[in-house]
Amino acid sequence: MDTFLIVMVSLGVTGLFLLGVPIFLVIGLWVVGISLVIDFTLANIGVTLFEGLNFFGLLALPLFILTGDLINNAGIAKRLSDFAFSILGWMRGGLGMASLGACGLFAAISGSNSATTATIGSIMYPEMRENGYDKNFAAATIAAGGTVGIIIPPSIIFIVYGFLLNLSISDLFIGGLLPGLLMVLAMQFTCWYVARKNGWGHLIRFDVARVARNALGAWLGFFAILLVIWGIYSGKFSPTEAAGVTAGFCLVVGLIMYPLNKMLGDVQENESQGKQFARALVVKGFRVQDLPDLIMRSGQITGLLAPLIAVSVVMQQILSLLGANVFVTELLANLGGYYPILFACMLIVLIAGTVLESLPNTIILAPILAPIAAGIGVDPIHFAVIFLVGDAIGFITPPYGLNLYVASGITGIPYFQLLRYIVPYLVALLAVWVVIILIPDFSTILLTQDGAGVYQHAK
Amino acid sequence: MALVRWIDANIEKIIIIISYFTMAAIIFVEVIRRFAFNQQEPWSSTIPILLFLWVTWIGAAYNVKIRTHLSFDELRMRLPYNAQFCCLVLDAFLWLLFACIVLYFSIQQVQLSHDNFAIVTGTDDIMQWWFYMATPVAWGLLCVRVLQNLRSDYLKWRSSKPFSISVSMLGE
Repeated sequence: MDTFLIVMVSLGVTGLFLLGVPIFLVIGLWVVGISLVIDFTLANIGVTLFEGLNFFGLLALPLFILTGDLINNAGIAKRLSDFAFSILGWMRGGLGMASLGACGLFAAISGSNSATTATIGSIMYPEMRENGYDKNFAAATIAAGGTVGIIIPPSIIFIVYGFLLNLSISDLFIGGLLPGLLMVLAMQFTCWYVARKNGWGHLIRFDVARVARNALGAWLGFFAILLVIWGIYSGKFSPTEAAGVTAGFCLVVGLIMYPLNKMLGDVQENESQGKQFARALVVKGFRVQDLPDLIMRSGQITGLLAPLIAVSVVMQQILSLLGANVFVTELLANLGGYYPILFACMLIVLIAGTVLESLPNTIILAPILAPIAAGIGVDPIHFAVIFLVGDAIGFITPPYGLNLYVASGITGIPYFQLLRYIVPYLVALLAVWVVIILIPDFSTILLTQDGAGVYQHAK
Repeated sequence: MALVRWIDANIEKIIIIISYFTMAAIIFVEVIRRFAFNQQEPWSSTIPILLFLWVTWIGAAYNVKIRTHLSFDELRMRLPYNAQFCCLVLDAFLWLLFACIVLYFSIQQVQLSHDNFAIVTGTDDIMQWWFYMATPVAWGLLCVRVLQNLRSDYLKWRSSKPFSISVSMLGE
């Protein structure tokens, strides 16, 4: 009888999801429904919505979101995009590839995929349009590029994963570095291939001076990236502290840069070399009075994501009460060997990712699947990377692909129209995923180096 | 009256901006202090989280206000007008239902922490229940926002104006 009721509740909330009820409520109501069915106290909801988030490591989430907004508003994200274009502009599809590269660079400072898509998308989409790219493909490119936002460290989702499974968040960050780069390269290759076939884009000559000038212009971006990576890799900061330091650095820089930029004035022809040099070093920055709006943007995104985390934690508790862990473990145990079980896990992550947002997906599934993977001898960091790359792919899979929504929101292209153009990127990312699974070294090699400062990772 | 209207327009912003900024500032300053002077306040790892919880739940209310909570709206956008209105009423009803549960149990939690004189770890005199108030206060505010939206939807429906269904998660 219980099983019947549980199925009914689950079908009921799925119906609500399809009707467009907010996902937070869908999960929340499922929890309420199941708690009533199995006669479990509802008091748990009130407590966990608060205590589920009461964890220092999770603070990196709002801080990295804030960093992303600071980087964007200070004009540093634009400089990173320009730099990527100066390197790749000579190739067919170079602007698209530069957008993907810029996503990777931005992802190395910020921790969120939707922020990556939104920031780089609003900079690069107009440029790709001007440059003769098909508008649907351009929008699909930025949607796909955003997926690396959660794989290249720092990443919100790695923080949540580490928080759930008691893994070192720094180790997870380092584990995501190479797979994230691989994803960027694979998507760039796809972009190059599609653009070459269609003859999109105007080429610029490769010019060392231009690259050097743009690299200089993006120095603040590189500094922030190095600060994060050095801090975490050397063990000087916890991820939360790295986030705080980076946010603080970007805030101070942004405020200092504004008056400096004003002093330089408008661009004039025939500027002296010194002035051109100064112009490259100085970014737009922002004023103190711009800060409330900027913080509010981050606050809004935090207010979207953090409640989802809290309610998903409650859902995971109820699932383990229902014995979902045992059920799935037994189900997969029948499959036998290493690869069948691993690929079954991937399939579960991928299918769940088509409807669930990445945070609920991770919180609900990771505690069930990770022990199974550990049981068959998969390195925990390697599995985390596998799991989260699958999660990232879920950002661009219909019916519910968050990045597609964000891209559709910035570009005004209808959601369904994007789907066809996302397919090549989806194929590329799935291929990378398989490679990451087959070659554990991509995820773990940086951790096994001696003297990295991180504790020796047990193989 | 002007004051009430101003509070209505800005209450979430004020709370979020103050809490968010304080939270980030505490962490930034404390890391610098630890590096430069080998000092750190014991509460620097507890107070920021509690501020984060204020940002989270007031942020949830704000997202209700500007209708940006994540949802799958492809089907709803294609529904007939009256069915859309029914969906909006359903949303409001479900929000209120869930809010009642959260309010009931989180108020109990605040009371418990108040009666026990629970103190924030790392401090001498900062009461935990001040921060635990985040959940009930924010969910109360969320209810107000749900009712305000319901009223505006009802007025739109009465005058047959289109609803704002598909809103990007990034607002505006």
